[in-house]
Amino acid sequence: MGVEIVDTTLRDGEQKAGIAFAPEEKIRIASMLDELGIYQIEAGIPAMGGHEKRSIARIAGMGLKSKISTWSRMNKNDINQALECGAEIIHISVPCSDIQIFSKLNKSREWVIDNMKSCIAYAAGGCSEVTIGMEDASRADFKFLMQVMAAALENGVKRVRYADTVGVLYRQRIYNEIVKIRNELDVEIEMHAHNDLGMAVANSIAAAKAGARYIDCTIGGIGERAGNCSYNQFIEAAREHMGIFQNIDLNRAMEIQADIMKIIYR
Amino acid sequence: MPLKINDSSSLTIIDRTLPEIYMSEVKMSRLDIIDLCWALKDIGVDLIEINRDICAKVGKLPAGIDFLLRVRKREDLHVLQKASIRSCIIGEEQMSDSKLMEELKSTGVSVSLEYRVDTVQELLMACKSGLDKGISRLRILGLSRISSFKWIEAIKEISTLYGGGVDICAENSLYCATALTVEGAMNGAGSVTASFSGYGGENGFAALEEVLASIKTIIDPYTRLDLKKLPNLKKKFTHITGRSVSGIKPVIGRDIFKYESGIHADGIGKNPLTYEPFDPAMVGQQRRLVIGKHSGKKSVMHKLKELGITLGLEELDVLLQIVKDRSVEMKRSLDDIEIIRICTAGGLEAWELKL
Repeated sequence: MGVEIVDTTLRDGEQKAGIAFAPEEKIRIASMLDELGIYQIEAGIPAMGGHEKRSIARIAGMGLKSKISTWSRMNKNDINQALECGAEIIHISVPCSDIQIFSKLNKSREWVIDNMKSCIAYAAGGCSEVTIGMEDASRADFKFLMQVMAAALENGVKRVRYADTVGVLYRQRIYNEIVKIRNELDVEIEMHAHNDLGMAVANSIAAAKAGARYIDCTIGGIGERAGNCSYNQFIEAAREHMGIFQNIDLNRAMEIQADIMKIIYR
Repeated sequence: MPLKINDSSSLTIIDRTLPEIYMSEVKMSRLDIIDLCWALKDIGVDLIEINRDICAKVGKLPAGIDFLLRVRKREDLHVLQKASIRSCIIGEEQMSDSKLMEELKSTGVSVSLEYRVDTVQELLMACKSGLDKGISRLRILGLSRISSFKWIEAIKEISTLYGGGVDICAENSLYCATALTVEGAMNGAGSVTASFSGYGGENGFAALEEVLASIKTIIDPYTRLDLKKLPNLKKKFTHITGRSVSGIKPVIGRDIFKYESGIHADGIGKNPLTYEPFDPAMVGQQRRLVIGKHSGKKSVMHKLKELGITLGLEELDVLLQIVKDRSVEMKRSLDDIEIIRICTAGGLEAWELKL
């Protein structure tokens, strides 16, 4: 079974405290990711405006082979900014854990589902694909996650991101949850792992083995806090454990990673 | 004393940092070794693995710490008696030395066997390796090609065969060592072996700090593990080895509790647990707000409050734009001094004219 890589170096990666890509650097990184054969490049957060939004629009207009996506919060203002960038895919982040819904937003689970539906409908008119991300899914009530996914599917979404936002998953758990999701819903799963406990690669492999067809990675594993699933490490592990990515030229991938790392850590 | 987990099972934490440092030919003084031993014990290590040469360097081993001696030759047995060490670990090669095994048996120490396994099939074959040879604990070393969960049943079976259970010592050639170690701990392994920051071997081992933080965060938050002294252990380790630890290294990296994104800053301001797996204080660290390209108005307000600076709402908007532009220009975040300079007399106005 094939697995596609969604690279979020230009979004979650750049969120690593202290990193600030200049517009021309974002363009260069996007070109290099395209050369790597990355399926989808998450180019950034249009709602940040200014340089960020202009960079994303430029990347979306480059005609790369990689699909270009943007990250939005679950509100129409963010989605408007995203629509203006012209990216193929709009990703809407949906807070799913009670701590996110109540502490961060001071809302209810019902509000989350209603607002999600309305945002999906709003975004769908202006792009090729809308995906939703279940933010903090690993600390959410599993039944609620199923409700969120079911509602998203009813509104035309085909792919849902399972985000281990604070990196507390472990292999057995993510494997079992994704198997359960796929047994009950006809949905494509995208795994977004964080490395807070050093298990992002292992969790991503487990997710892929359970049927997640999309895996989020960043170059060098950079990202919030201890970072995300490292692209090179995931490829290496997946080649061994799953027999996939055999056609990737690992030497060239290492060279490209090194070039991107020089930009990140100049 | 083994760690009590969830009030029912116990887990012995074994550390192999010292012999790994020794094998990498880093020079350690007697004090370095003793300091590292205490730093390891402070964070919850039950058994510290050493070898004969480390013993010789230290002379008298510190009382109050339990050691696991690597026995590779018959001469190593003298160390067991001289240093009153009650546990040792041998390899497959030593097991076929019947004289050595006889002498070991006569010492009455607890003997572990380290057995290399990379697949489930090899694990099943390893099951009975040490039975009838006086082995009390079977250490499974390697596991790098384990990706399915079939190995768990084998671990459970092996645990019933050896009085001291199974010790998981995963190697990190495919970046899954911590995950396998945690999985072993969750499924009946009686011990786990790791090294600080995963140091050593050809491809590293499970990182001790990741395993312990996982136990505390995922398995049992009430376990007695006190990880606040991890920064001290890191300091000792980097002093001895001369190796720096990556800023984004899980649990111990210096940058992992820095946050900049406006969305995260807003969430953390309301409840830190929105975007943290655990309180940074649990591992002896502090969160730090950084101002840069991804900052929002609330982050900047929070920073200004930290710095004791008051600005009006319009000035705040100007400052936020300045911060974003400067951050992109310099390709990094701004430090506190730079923010103070922008805000001091004439600073903001001068910037506003530029905008």
